[in-house]
Amino acid sequence: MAEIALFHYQTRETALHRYDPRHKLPLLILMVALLFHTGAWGLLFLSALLAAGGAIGRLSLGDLFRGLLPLGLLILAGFLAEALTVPGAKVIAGLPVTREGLVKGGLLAWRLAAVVLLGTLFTATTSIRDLRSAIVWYLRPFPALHGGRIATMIGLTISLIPLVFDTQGEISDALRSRCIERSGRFVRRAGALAAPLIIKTFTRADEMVQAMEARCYSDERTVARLRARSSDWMVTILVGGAAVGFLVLFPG
Amino acid sequence: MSLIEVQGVSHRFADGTIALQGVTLAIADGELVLLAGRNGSGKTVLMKHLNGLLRATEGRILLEGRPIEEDLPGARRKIGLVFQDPDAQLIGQTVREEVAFGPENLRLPAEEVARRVEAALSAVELSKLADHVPRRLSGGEKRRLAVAGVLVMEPRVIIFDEPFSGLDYPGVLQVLREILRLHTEGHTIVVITHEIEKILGHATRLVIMDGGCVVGDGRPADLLDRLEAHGIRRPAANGQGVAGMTWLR
Repeated sequence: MAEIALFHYQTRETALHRYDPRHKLPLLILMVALLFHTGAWGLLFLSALLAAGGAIGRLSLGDLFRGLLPLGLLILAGFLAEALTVPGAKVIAGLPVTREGLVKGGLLAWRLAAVVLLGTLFTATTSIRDLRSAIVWYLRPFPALHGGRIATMIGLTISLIPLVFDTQGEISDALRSRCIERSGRFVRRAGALAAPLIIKTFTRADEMVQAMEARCYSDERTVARLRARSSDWMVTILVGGAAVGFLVLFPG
Repeated sequence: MSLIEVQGVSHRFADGTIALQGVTLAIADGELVLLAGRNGSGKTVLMKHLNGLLRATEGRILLEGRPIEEDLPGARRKIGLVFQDPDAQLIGQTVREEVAFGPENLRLPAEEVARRVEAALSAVELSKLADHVPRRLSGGEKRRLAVAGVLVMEPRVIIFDEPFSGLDYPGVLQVLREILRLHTEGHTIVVITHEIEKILGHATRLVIMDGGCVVGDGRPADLLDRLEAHGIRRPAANGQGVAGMTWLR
Protein backbone atom coordinates (compact mmCIF):
# COMPACT_ATOMS: atom_id res chain seq x y z
CA MET A 1 0.00 0.00 0.00
CA ALA A 2 1.16 3.50 -0.78
CA GLU A 3 2.52 5.65 2.00
CA ILE A 4 -0.10 7.67 3.84
CA ALA A 5 0.84 11.14 4.94
CA LEU A 6 -1.20 13.20 7.35
CA PHE A 7 -4.26 14.87 5.77
CA HIS A 8 -3.47 13.69 2.24
CA TYR A 9 -6.42 12.60 0.10
CA GLN A 10 -6.08 8.99 -1.09
CA THR A 11 -7.80 8.13 -4.34
CA ARG A 12 -9.60 4.81 -3.95
CA GLU A 13 -12.90 3.32 -5.10
CA THR A 14 -14.37 2.42 -1.72
CA ALA A 15 -17.74 2.80 0.00
CA LEU A 16 -16.21 5.37 2.37
CA HIS A 17 -14.94 7.45 -0.57
CA ARG A 18 -18.40 7.29 -2.18
CA TYR A 19 -20.24 8.11 1.08
CA ASP A 20 -22.06 11.42 0.50
CA PRO A 21 -20.01 14.24 2.10
CA ARG A 22 -23.27 15.90 3.21
CA HIS A 23 -23.68 12.86 5.51
CA LYS A 24 -20.00 12.49 6.31
CA LEU A 25 -19.62 16.06 7.56
CA PRO A 26 -22.30 16.03 10.33
CA LEU A 27 -21.14 12.55 11.32
CA LEU A 28 -17.60 13.91 11.71
CA ILE A 29 -18.89 16.73 13.92
CA LEU A 30 -20.82 14.20 16.02
CA MET A 31 -17.69 12.07 16.40
CA VAL A 32 -15.68 15.05 17.60
CA ALA A 33 -18.42 15.82 20.15
CA LEU A 34 -18.28 12.17 21.22
CA LEU A 35 -14.51 12.40 21.61
CA PHE A 36 -14.63 15.20 24.10
CA HIS A 37 -17.84 14.41 25.97
CA THR A 38 -17.52 10.75 26.73
CA GLY A 39 -15.25 8.45 28.73
CA ALA A 40 -13.34 5.29 27.95
CA TRP A 41 -16.37 3.39 26.59
CA GLY A 42 -17.16 6.13 24.10
CA LEU A 43 -13.50 6.27 23.08
CA LEU A 44 -13.46 2.52 22.63
CA PHE A 45 -16.53 2.73 20.38
CA LEU A 46 -14.93 5.54 18.40
CA SER A 47 -11.66 3.64 18.07
CA ALA A 48 -13.55 0.62 16.75
CA LEU A 49 -15.30 2.90 14.25
CA LEU A 50 -11.94 4.36 13.19
CA ALA A 51 -10.54 0.87 12.66
CA ALA A 52 -13.62 -0.11 10.65
CA GLY A 53 -13.44 3.16 8.66
CA GLY A 54 -9.77 2.56 7.92
CA ALA A 55 -10.53 -0.97 6.71
CA ILE A 56 -13.49 0.11 4.56
CA GLY A 57 -11.49 3.02 3.13
CA ARG A 58 -8.60 0.59 2.52
CA LEU A 59 -6.24 2.56 4.76
CA SER A 60 -4.23 0.27 7.01
CA LEU A 61 -3.97 1.04 10.74
CA GLY A 62 -0.19 1.03 10.47
CA ASP A 63 -0.29 3.67 7.76
CA LEU A 64 -2.80 5.75 9.70
CA PHE A 65 -0.64 5.61 12.82
CA ARG A 66 2.43 6.68 10.84
CA GLY A 67 0.49 9.90 10.25
CA LEU A 68 0.50 10.43 14.02
CA LEU A 69 4.28 10.60 14.24
CA PRO A 70 4.62 14.34 13.48
CA LEU A 71 2.28 15.04 16.40
CA GLY A 72 3.76 12.39 18.69
CA LEU A 73 5.64 14.97 20.75
CA LEU A 74 2.50 17.01 21.35
CA ILE A 75 0.54 13.94 22.44
CA LEU A 76 3.39 12.82 24.71
CA ALA A 77 3.60 16.31 26.24
CA GLY A 78 -0.15 16.23 26.97
CA PHE A 79 0.17 12.81 28.58
CA LEU A 80 3.13 13.84 30.75
CA ALA A 81 1.48 17.10 31.81
CA GLU A 82 -1.51 15.19 33.16
CA ALA A 83 0.52 12.31 34.60
CA LEU A 84 2.81 14.65 36.52
CA THR A 85 0.34 17.25 37.76
CA VAL A 86 -2.90 15.47 38.67
CA PRO A 87 -2.95 14.77 42.43
CA GLY A 88 -3.62 11.23 43.65
CA ALA A 89 -1.99 8.00 44.74
CA LYS A 90 1.75 7.91 43.95
CA VAL A 91 2.78 5.11 41.61
CA ILE A 92 6.56 5.37 42.09
CA ALA A 93 8.07 6.62 45.31
CA GLY A 94 9.99 9.88 44.82
CA LEU A 95 8.31 10.73 41.49
CA PRO A 96 5.20 12.97 41.18
CA VAL A 97 3.46 10.43 38.91
CA THR A 98 0.02 9.42 40.19
CA ARG A 99 -2.38 6.66 39.18
CA GLU A 100 -5.12 9.23 38.55
CA GLY A 101 -2.69 11.29 36.48
CA LEU A 102 -1.75 8.28 34.37
CA VAL A 103 -5.42 7.52 33.72
CA LYS A 104 -6.25 11.13 32.82
CA GLY A 105 -3.08 11.46 30.74
CA GLY A 106 -3.85 8.20 28.97
CA LEU A 107 -7.38 9.37 28.13
CA LEU A 108 -6.07 12.73 26.89
CA ALA A 109 -3.45 11.06 24.69
CA TRP A 110 -6.11 8.67 23.37
CA ARG A 111 -8.42 11.61 22.59
CA LEU A 112 -5.69 13.60 20.82
CA ALA A 113 -4.63 10.57 18.80
CA ALA A 114 -8.25 9.86 17.90
CA VAL A 115 -8.76 13.48 16.74
CA VAL A 116 -5.79 13.22 14.41
CA LEU A 117 -6.84 9.79 13.14
CA LEU A 118 -10.39 11.02 12.58
CA GLY A 119 -9.10 14.01 10.61
CA THR A 120 -6.75 11.78 8.63
CA LEU A 121 -9.53 9.29 7.83
CA PHE A 122 -11.90 12.09 6.79
CA THR A 123 -9.42 13.94 4.58
CA ALA A 124 -8.01 10.70 3.13
CA THR A 125 -11.45 9.65 1.92
CA THR A 126 -13.10 13.02 1.10
CA SER A 127 -11.85 15.15 -1.75
CA ILE A 128 -11.75 18.88 -1.15
CA ARG A 129 -14.01 19.30 -4.17
CA ASP A 130 -16.70 17.12 -2.55
CA LEU A 131 -16.22 18.78 0.83
CA ARG A 132 -16.54 22.18 -0.81
CA SER A 133 -19.76 21.17 -2.53
CA ALA A 134 -21.19 19.86 0.77
CA ILE A 135 -20.36 23.10 2.61
CA VAL A 136 -21.90 25.17 -0.20
CA TRP A 137 -25.00 22.94 0.02
CA TYR A 138 -25.32 23.44 3.79
CA LEU A 139 -24.81 27.20 3.58
CA ARG A 140 -27.15 27.75 0.60
CA PRO A 141 -30.05 28.84 2.88
CA PHE A 142 -27.77 31.58 4.32
CA PRO A 143 -26.68 33.72 1.35
CA ALA A 144 -25.24 36.39 3.66
CA LEU A 145 -22.56 33.90 4.77
CA HIS A 146 -20.96 33.62 1.27
CA GLY A 147 -20.91 29.81 1.31
CA GLY A 148 -18.64 29.60 -1.74
CA ARG A 149 -15.97 31.72 -0.09
CA ILE A 150 -16.16 29.89 3.25
CA ALA A 151 -15.98 26.53 1.46
CA THR A 152 -12.94 27.65 -0.55
CA MET A 153 -11.16 28.92 2.56
CA ILE A 154 -11.76 25.63 4.40
CA GLY A 155 -10.66 23.67 1.32
CA LEU A 156 -7.47 25.71 0.94
CA THR A 157 -6.63 25.34 4.61
CA ILE A 158 -7.00 21.57 4.38
CA SER A 159 -4.96 21.43 1.19
CA LEU A 160 -2.17 23.51 2.77
CA ILE A 161 -1.84 21.25 5.85
CA PRO A 162 -0.16 18.34 4.02
CA LEU A 163 2.06 20.81 2.17
CA VAL A 164 3.27 22.19 5.50
CA PHE A 165 4.02 18.67 6.78
CA ASP A 166 5.79 17.78 3.52
CA THR A 167 7.88 20.95 3.76
CA GLN A 168 8.68 20.26 7.39
CA GLY A 169 9.88 16.78 6.37
CA GLU A 170 12.10 18.20 3.61
CA ILE A 171 13.65 20.83 5.90
CA SER A 172 14.18 18.28 8.70
CA ASP A 173 16.00 16.00 6.25
CA ALA A 174 18.19 18.89 5.10
CA LEU A 175 18.99 19.79 8.73
CA ARG A 176 19.75 16.18 9.67
CA SER A 177 22.07 15.87 6.68
CA ARG A 178 24.08 18.63 8.34
CA CYS A 179 24.07 16.93 11.77
CA ILE A 180 21.52 19.22 13.47
CA GLU A 181 20.89 16.52 16.09
CA ARG A 182 24.42 17.09 17.43
CA SER A 183 23.44 20.61 18.35
CA GLY A 184 22.55 20.28 22.03
CA ARG A 185 20.27 23.28 22.34
CA PHE A 186 16.60 22.60 21.65
CA VAL A 187 15.88 26.29 20.95
CA ARG A 188 18.57 26.38 18.25
CA ARG A 189 17.21 23.22 16.61
CA ALA A 190 13.64 24.52 16.74
CA GLY A 191 14.69 27.88 15.29
CA ALA A 192 16.62 26.23 12.47
CA LEU A 193 13.44 24.36 11.51
CA ALA A 194 10.85 27.09 12.16
CA ALA A 195 12.39 29.98 10.20
CA PRO A 196 12.68 28.24 6.79
CA LEU A 197 9.38 26.42 7.38
CA ILE A 198 7.49 29.69 7.90
CA ILE A 199 9.16 31.37 4.91
CA LYS A 200 8.56 28.38 2.61
CA THR A 201 4.94 27.97 3.74
CA PHE A 202 4.16 31.61 2.96
CA THR A 203 6.01 31.38 -0.36
CA ARG A 204 4.02 28.29 -1.35
CA ALA A 205 0.77 29.93 -0.29
CA ASP A 206 1.68 32.96 -2.42
CA GLU A 207 2.50 30.74 -5.41
CA MET A 208 -0.77 28.88 -4.98
CA VAL A 209 -2.71 32.15 -4.96
CA GLN A 210 -0.98 33.24 -8.18
CA ALA A 211 -1.70 29.89 -9.83
CA MET A 212 -5.36 30.20 -8.80
CA GLU A 213 -5.62 33.78 -10.08
CA ALA A 214 -3.99 32.80 -13.38
CA ARG A 215 -6.81 30.29 -13.85
CA CYS A 216 -9.63 32.77 -13.21
CA TYR A 217 -10.23 31.84 -9.55
CA SER A 218 -13.69 32.75 -8.34
CA ASP A 219 -15.67 32.06 -5.14
CA GLU A 220 -18.70 31.08 -7.17
CA ARG A 221 -17.69 27.95 -9.02
CA THR A 222 -19.28 24.91 -10.58
CA VAL A 223 -20.06 22.54 -7.70
CA ALA A 224 -19.78 18.76 -7.81
CA ARG A 225 -23.05 16.84 -8.12
CA LEU A 226 -23.71 15.03 -4.85
CA ARG A 227 -25.90 11.99 -4.54
CA ALA A 228 -27.05 10.36 -1.30
CA ARG A 229 -27.78 6.64 -1.68
CA SER A 230 -30.10 4.73 0.62
CA SER A 231 -27.02 3.00 2.08
CA ASP A 232 -25.65 6.46 3.02
CA TRP A 233 -28.83 7.18 4.96
CA MET A 234 -28.63 3.79 6.71
CA VAL A 235 -25.01 4.33 7.79
CA THR A 236 -25.73 7.85 9.02
CA ILE A 237 -28.74 6.73 11.07
CA LEU A 238 -27.00 3.66 12.53
CA VAL A 239 -23.62 5.21 13.35
CA GLY A 240 -25.08 8.58 14.33
CA GLY A 241 -27.66 6.89 16.55
CA ALA A 242 -24.98 4.78 18.25
CA ALA A 243 -22.83 7.86 18.83
CA VAL A 244 -25.73 9.76 20.39
CA GLY A 245 -26.46 6.69 22.53
CA PHE A 246 -22.88 6.66 23.86
CA LEU A 247 -23.07 10.39 24.54
CA VAL A 248 -26.24 9.92 26.59
CA LEU A 249 -25.33 6.65 28.34
CA PHE A 250 -21.60 7.22 28.97
CA PRO A 251 -21.00 10.96 29.37
CA GLY A 252 -17.41 11.89 30.18
CA MET B 1 -2.74 43.81 -35.58
CA SER B 2 -0.56 41.89 -33.14
CA LEU B 3 -2.18 39.45 -30.76
CA ILE B 4 -0.25 40.80 -27.76
CA GLU B 5 1.36 44.22 -27.58
CA VAL B 6 3.61 45.20 -24.69
CA GLN B 7 3.97 48.97 -24.82
CA GLY B 8 6.74 50.57 -22.75
CA VAL B 9 6.11 48.42 -19.68
CA SER B 10 8.16 49.10 -16.56
CA HIS B 11 7.78 47.46 -13.18
CA ARG B 12 9.23 48.59 -9.88
CA PHE B 13 8.73 46.40 -6.80
CA ALA B 14 7.82 47.88 -3.41
CA ASP B 15 11.44 47.55 -2.22
CA GLY B 16 12.61 49.74 -5.12
CA THR B 17 13.95 46.93 -7.32
CA ILE B 18 13.38 47.72 -10.98
CA ALA B 19 12.37 44.48 -12.68
CA LEU B 20 11.31 45.80 -16.09
CA GLN B 21 12.34 48.99 -17.89
CA GLY B 22 10.36 50.21 -20.87
CA VAL B 23 9.78 46.79 -22.42
CA THR B 24 8.16 46.99 -25.84
CA LEU B 25 7.27 43.82 -27.66
CA ALA B 26 4.61 42.58 -30.08
CA ILE B 27 3.65 38.93 -30.51
CA ALA B 28 1.73 37.86 -33.60
CA ASP B 29 -0.79 35.05 -33.85
CA GLY B 30 0.84 31.65 -34.44
CA GLU B 31 4.40 32.58 -33.44
CA LEU B 32 6.68 30.39 -31.34
CA VAL B 33 8.69 32.97 -29.43
CA LEU B 34 11.70 32.02 -27.35
CA LEU B 35 12.24 34.55 -24.55
CA ALA B 36 15.74 34.04 -23.21
CA GLY B 37 17.84 35.76 -20.59
CA ARG B 38 20.03 35.17 -17.58
CA ASN B 39 18.54 34.70 -14.08
CA GLY B 40 16.96 37.92 -12.84
CA SER B 41 16.68 39.43 -16.33
CA GLY B 42 12.93 40.02 -15.90
CA LYS B 43 11.52 37.18 -18.02
CA THR B 44 9.17 35.76 -15.39
CA VAL B 45 8.06 39.21 -14.23
CA LEU B 46 7.14 40.03 -17.83
CA MET B 47 5.22 36.75 -18.10
CA LYS B 48 3.16 37.62 -15.02
CA HIS B 49 2.26 40.98 -16.59
CA LEU B 50 0.92 39.25 -19.70
CA ASN B 51 -1.67 37.43 -17.56
CA GLY B 52 -2.43 40.39 -15.29
CA LEU B 53 -0.88 38.76 -12.19
CA LEU B 54 1.37 41.82 -11.90
CA ARG B 55 0.40 45.35 -12.95
CA ALA B 56 2.81 47.60 -14.81
CA THR B 57 4.14 50.64 -12.98
CA GLU B 58 4.30 52.32 -16.41
CA GLY B 59 3.12 51.31 -19.85
CA ARG B 60 0.35 48.95 -20.85
CA ILE B 61 -0.36 45.55 -22.37
CA LEU B 62 -2.92 45.02 -25.10
CA LEU B 63 -4.54 41.73 -26.02
CA GLU B 64 -6.25 41.82 -29.41
CA GLY B 65 -6.01 45.62 -29.26
CA ARG B 66 -7.62 46.03 -25.81
CA PRO B 67 -5.85 46.73 -22.50
CA ILE B 68 -5.92 43.49 -20.52
CA GLU B 69 -7.22 45.29 -17.39
CA GLU B 70 -10.52 45.89 -19.20
CA ASP B 71 -11.30 42.18 -19.08
CA LEU B 72 -8.88 40.31 -16.82
CA PRO B 73 -10.85 37.04 -16.67
CA GLY B 74 -11.07 37.11 -20.47
CA ALA B 75 -7.31 37.74 -20.75
CA ARG B 76 -6.61 34.88 -18.36
CA ARG B 77 -8.77 32.56 -20.43
CA LYS B 78 -6.94 33.50 -23.61
CA ILE B 79 -3.40 33.59 -22.20
CA GLY B 80 -2.51 30.46 -20.24
CA LEU B 81 0.54 30.28 -17.98
CA VAL B 82 2.49 27.12 -17.26
CA PHE B 83 4.58 27.99 -14.22
CA GLN B 84 8.20 26.99 -13.71
CA ASP B 85 7.45 24.86 -10.66
CA PRO B 86 4.53 22.60 -11.56
CA ASP B 87 4.02 21.71 -7.87
CA ALA B 88 3.19 25.35 -7.21
CA GLN B 89 0.47 25.19 -9.85
CA LEU B 90 -1.19 21.99 -8.66
CA ILE B 91 -4.38 22.72 -6.73
CA GLY B 92 -6.59 19.67 -7.24
CA GLN B 93 -6.27 16.46 -5.23
CA THR B 94 -6.61 14.25 -8.27
CA VAL B 95 -5.44 14.76 -11.84
CA ARG B 96 -9.06 15.15 -12.99
CA GLU B 97 -9.87 17.74 -10.27
CA GLU B 98 -6.70 19.63 -11.06
CA VAL B 99 -7.66 20.05 -14.71
CA ALA B 100 -11.26 20.92 -13.79
CA PHE B 101 -10.19 23.83 -11.57
CA GLY B 102 -10.14 26.44 -14.37
CA PRO B 103 -13.46 25.65 -16.09
CA GLU B 104 -15.17 25.33 -12.70
CA ASN B 105 -14.02 28.89 -11.99
CA LEU B 106 -15.75 29.92 -15.21
CA ARG B 107 -18.95 28.34 -13.81
CA LEU B 108 -19.38 26.16 -16.86
CA PRO B 109 -22.06 23.46 -16.59
CA ALA B 110 -20.77 20.22 -15.04
CA GLU B 111 -21.20 18.33 -18.37
CA GLU B 112 -19.11 20.92 -20.23
CA VAL B 113 -16.44 20.81 -17.50
CA ALA B 114 -16.28 17.01 -17.80
CA ARG B 115 -16.09 17.18 -21.62
CA ARG B 116 -13.26 19.72 -21.55
CA VAL B 117 -11.35 17.82 -18.86
CA GLU B 118 -11.49 14.56 -20.83
CA ALA B 119 -10.35 16.36 -23.99
CA ALA B 120 -7.46 18.11 -22.24
CA LEU B 121 -6.29 14.93 -20.50
CA SER B 122 -6.49 13.04 -23.74
CA ALA B 123 -4.49 15.76 -25.54
CA VAL B 124 -1.58 15.39 -23.10
CA GLU B 125 -2.01 11.59 -22.86
CA LEU B 126 -2.83 11.56 -19.16
CA SER B 127 -6.34 10.06 -19.36
CA LYS B 128 -5.16 6.83 -17.71
CA LEU B 129 -3.90 8.79 -14.71
CA ALA B 130 -7.12 10.81 -14.23
CA ASP B 131 -7.73 9.48 -10.72
CA HIS B 132 -4.11 9.62 -9.57
CA VAL B 133 -2.78 12.06 -6.99
CA PRO B 134 -0.90 14.84 -8.85
CA ARG B 135 2.01 15.03 -6.41
CA ARG B 136 2.91 11.39 -7.14
CA LEU B 137 3.37 11.96 -10.90
CA SER B 138 6.82 12.18 -12.47
CA GLY B 139 8.32 15.57 -13.34
CA GLY B 140 7.39 15.27 -17.03
CA GLU B 141 3.85 14.12 -16.19
CA LYS B 142 3.39 17.04 -13.79
CA ARG B 143 4.39 19.49 -16.54
CA ARG B 144 1.95 17.83 -18.94
CA LEU B 145 -0.74 18.03 -16.26
CA ALA B 146 -0.01 21.76 -15.85
CA VAL B 147 -0.40 22.08 -19.65
CA ALA B 148 -3.75 20.25 -19.47
CA GLY B 149 -4.85 22.66 -16.71
CA VAL B 150 -4.20 25.51 -19.15
CA LEU B 151 -5.48 23.78 -22.32
CA VAL B 152 -8.85 23.15 -20.70
CA MET B 153 -9.45 26.92 -20.70
CA GLU B 154 -9.10 26.82 -24.52
CA PRO B 155 -6.48 29.59 -24.65
CA ARG B 156 -5.01 31.21 -27.78
CA VAL B 157 -1.60 31.82 -26.21
CA ILE B 158 0.33 29.49 -23.91
CA ILE B 159 3.36 30.77 -22.02
CA PHE B 160 5.81 28.23 -20.61
CA ASP B 161 8.14 29.45 -17.86
CA GLU B 162 11.35 27.37 -17.82
CA PRO B 163 9.50 24.24 -19.00
CA PHE B 164 12.62 22.03 -19.01
CA SER B 165 14.08 22.83 -15.61
CA GLY B 166 14.55 19.82 -13.37
CA LEU B 167 13.51 17.30 -16.03
CA ASP B 168 15.51 14.27 -17.14
CA TYR B 169 16.10 13.58 -20.85
CA PRO B 170 12.82 11.69 -21.47
CA GLY B 171 10.95 14.37 -19.52
CA VAL B 172 12.43 17.13 -21.70
CA LEU B 173 11.45 15.23 -24.85
CA GLN B 174 7.87 14.75 -23.59
CA VAL B 175 7.44 18.43 -22.82
CA LEU B 176 9.20 19.57 -26.01
CA ARG B 177 6.95 17.38 -28.17
CA GLU B 178 3.92 18.75 -26.32
CA ILE B 179 4.96 22.36 -26.97
CA LEU B 180 5.52 21.68 -30.67
CA ARG B 181 2.21 19.83 -30.99
CA LEU B 182 0.37 22.79 -29.45
CA HIS B 183 2.12 25.14 -31.86
CA THR B 184 1.23 22.94 -34.82
CA GLU B 185 -2.40 22.96 -33.70
CA GLY B 186 -2.44 26.75 -33.97
CA HIS B 187 -1.61 28.01 -30.50
CA THR B 188 0.70 30.97 -30.10
CA ILE B 189 3.55 29.83 -27.88
CA VAL B 190 6.00 31.79 -25.73
CA VAL B 191 8.77 29.73 -24.10
CA ILE B 192 10.80 31.42 -21.38
CA THR B 193 14.09 29.64 -20.86
CA HIS B 194 17.83 29.96 -20.69
CA GLU B 195 18.25 26.34 -21.86
CA ILE B 196 17.75 27.44 -25.44
CA GLU B 197 19.68 24.57 -27.05
CA LYS B 198 16.68 22.32 -26.35
CA ILE B 199 14.22 24.24 -28.50
CA LEU B 200 15.91 27.05 -30.46
CA GLY B 201 15.68 25.09 -33.73
CA HIS B 202 11.88 25.31 -33.60
CA ALA B 203 11.52 28.97 -32.59
CA THR B 204 10.22 31.43 -35.15
CA ARG B 205 11.67 34.29 -33.13
CA LEU B 206 14.16 34.92 -30.34
CA VAL B 207 13.83 37.72 -27.78
CA ILE B 208 16.73 38.36 -25.41
CA MET B 209 16.21 40.14 -22.10
CA ASP B 210 18.86 41.53 -19.80
CA GLY B 211 18.53 43.88 -16.83
CA GLY B 212 14.77 44.20 -17.30
CA CYS B 213 15.11 45.37 -20.92
CA VAL B 214 14.67 43.73 -24.31
CA VAL B 215 18.19 43.80 -25.76
CA GLY B 216 17.63 41.63 -28.82
CA ASP B 217 14.59 40.68 -30.88
CA GLY B 218 14.64 38.89 -34.23
CA ARG B 219 15.34 35.68 -36.11
CA PRO B 220 17.32 33.19 -33.99
CA ALA B 221 20.11 32.95 -36.58
CA ASP B 222 20.66 36.71 -36.44
CA LEU B 223 21.06 36.83 -32.67
CA LEU B 224 23.24 33.77 -31.99
CA ASP B 225 26.48 35.73 -31.67
CA ARG B 226 24.99 38.08 -29.09
CA LEU B 227 23.80 35.40 -26.68
CA GLU B 228 26.87 34.97 -24.50
CA ALA B 229 27.20 38.71 -23.90
CA HIS B 230 23.87 38.45 -22.10
CA GLY B 231 24.63 35.38 -19.98
CA ILE B 232 23.10 32.72 -22.27
CA ARG B 233 25.20 29.81 -23.53
CA ARG B 234 25.40 29.77 -27.32
CA PRO B 235 24.26 26.30 -28.47
CA ALA B 236 26.91 24.29 -30.29
CA ALA B 237 26.46 24.16 -34.05
CA ASN B 238 26.32 20.60 -35.38
CA GLY B 239 26.50 21.35 -39.07
CA GLN B 240 22.80 22.05 -39.47
CA GLY B 241 22.86 25.63 -38.20
CA VAL B 242 20.00 26.85 -36.02
CA ALA B 243 17.66 24.15 -37.32
CA GLY B 244 19.77 21.52 -35.57
CA MET B 245 19.58 23.26 -32.20
CA THR B 246 16.96 20.99 -30.65
CA TRP B 247 16.92 17.88 -28.50
CA LEU B 248 14.50 16.18 -30.86
CA ARG B 249 17.04 15.41 -33.54
